[in-house]
Amino acid sequence: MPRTSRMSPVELASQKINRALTDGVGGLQFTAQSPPGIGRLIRIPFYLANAVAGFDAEIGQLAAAIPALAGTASTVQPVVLMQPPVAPGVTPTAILRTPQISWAILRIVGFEASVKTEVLPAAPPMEVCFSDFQIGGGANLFVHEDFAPASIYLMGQLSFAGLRDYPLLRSPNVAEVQVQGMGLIASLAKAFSCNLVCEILQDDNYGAHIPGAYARPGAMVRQGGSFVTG
Amino acid sequence: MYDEIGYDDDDFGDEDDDFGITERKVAHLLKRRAKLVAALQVAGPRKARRITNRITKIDARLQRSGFSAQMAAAADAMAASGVQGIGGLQFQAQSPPGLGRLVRLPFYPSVANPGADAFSGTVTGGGFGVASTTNPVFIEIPTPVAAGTSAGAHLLRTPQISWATLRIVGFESQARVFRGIAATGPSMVVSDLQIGGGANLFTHEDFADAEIYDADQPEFAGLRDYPLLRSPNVAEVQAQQVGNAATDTVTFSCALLCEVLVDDNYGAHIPGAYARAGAIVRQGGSFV
Repeated sequence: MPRTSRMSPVELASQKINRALTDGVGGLQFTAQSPPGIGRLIRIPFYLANAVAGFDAEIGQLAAAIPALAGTASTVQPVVLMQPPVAPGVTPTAILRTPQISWAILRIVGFEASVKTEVLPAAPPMEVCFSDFQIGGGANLFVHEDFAPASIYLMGQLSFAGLRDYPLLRSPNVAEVQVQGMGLIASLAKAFSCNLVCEILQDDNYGAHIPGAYARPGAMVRQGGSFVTG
Repeated sequence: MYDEIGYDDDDFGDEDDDFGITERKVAHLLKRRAKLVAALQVAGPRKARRITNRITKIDARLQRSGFSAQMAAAADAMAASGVQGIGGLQFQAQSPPGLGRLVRLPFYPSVANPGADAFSGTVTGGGFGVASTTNPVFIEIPTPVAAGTSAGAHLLRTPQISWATLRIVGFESQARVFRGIAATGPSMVVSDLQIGGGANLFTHEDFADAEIYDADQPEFAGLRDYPLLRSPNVAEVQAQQVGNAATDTVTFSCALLCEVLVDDNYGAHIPGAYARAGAIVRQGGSFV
């Protein structure tokens, strides 16, 4: 057997590099998008539980059947149609809520929104803005104390926006977020929906799950050890 | 029997080599050593002594040549850093998922709502308000009257898959909206995904915007469980259009995302890592 090299770490490494680069590895990795695993990255929709002037839950009725600016609440349909403001500036503020989830303990890991946009707006389009995202009346989970545009939290982004904390969501607590539009009187009504992104920790029907790595206790220990386990 | 694992054949000789050893020879010795260690677990006392002697001999040979596990690990690490990230740069290419993984099983409109007139309602492959079990795509057309509504929620169902056992790992939808260029357009909402009449796999008890599950999203949305789908069970889901203009329509279809576990024609497959038994054991061992 011909002896091609002497055993030394340097020679060994360089040989491996050369072989890998020339044999076709070339620093290329292959990945396939995968489902997140049981009970991970699930979504809980927010609903317009209380009627607010200028906000109509889309319940399958056409615009002509909805009294203008009366406000339509729904705890079933999550898509909300927001009417333009009565004066240039902001619309009234509505509060969206998730339902009580009695059958599971969830860890909140994100917030996301879907805003239906016009292809070619006939007037300056309204922007949907969110503020004061809280669980059971707790501290704001957004880093912004006031409103921020929904584009930060839009679905379809390559990454999720961060939150100040990943708290537990236990019934009877619900999540709430404030929403407001900013536009002109001539702006067209804007439809949108938003959701919590959660990990199921305990499900009455399907058992206890192991959350994603980003939501495990080891990943959420604060400096000083203030982590409170579920 | 010893020869089957080759632990007593001495093809590398007894020569002392104070000047080192080739990488190929090291690999050969390590492979031989691994076989011997494995055989040691099931060997009788006499055979075990012979195997132990041989392992000792190989270890001595490796030591003389300058080989050590730490050195090998360092070399591997250096090689990996060179190959996988020269200058901190890595390249990734999207790949197919593998045999029987992430297959899509379409839902078909087993109920299609008729509209208030002949030009509205749910249009399927069978026509206005007619169920279809052959084409999963349907178009929702609202009733164009002042107090009109969209066609309402209706049931979609997968066919019975008698030829395979599937594990459900996701739900995916696709909505093509027809609307005015200045309108925000209608939405599709979905609810109550269940298998064979079981508990809801969605985490929302009521409707949710189908965009959560849109095929164009960069990641898959989660489900409460990854159950098996075995014939005669089928999956069902409710879908509805909501919108604010009579002229807005949605062309919609949706599908289950599954792993094929056993296929009558193509055999048993190994599912993706997210759907293997080890990945879906619940804490406390409640996995069924």
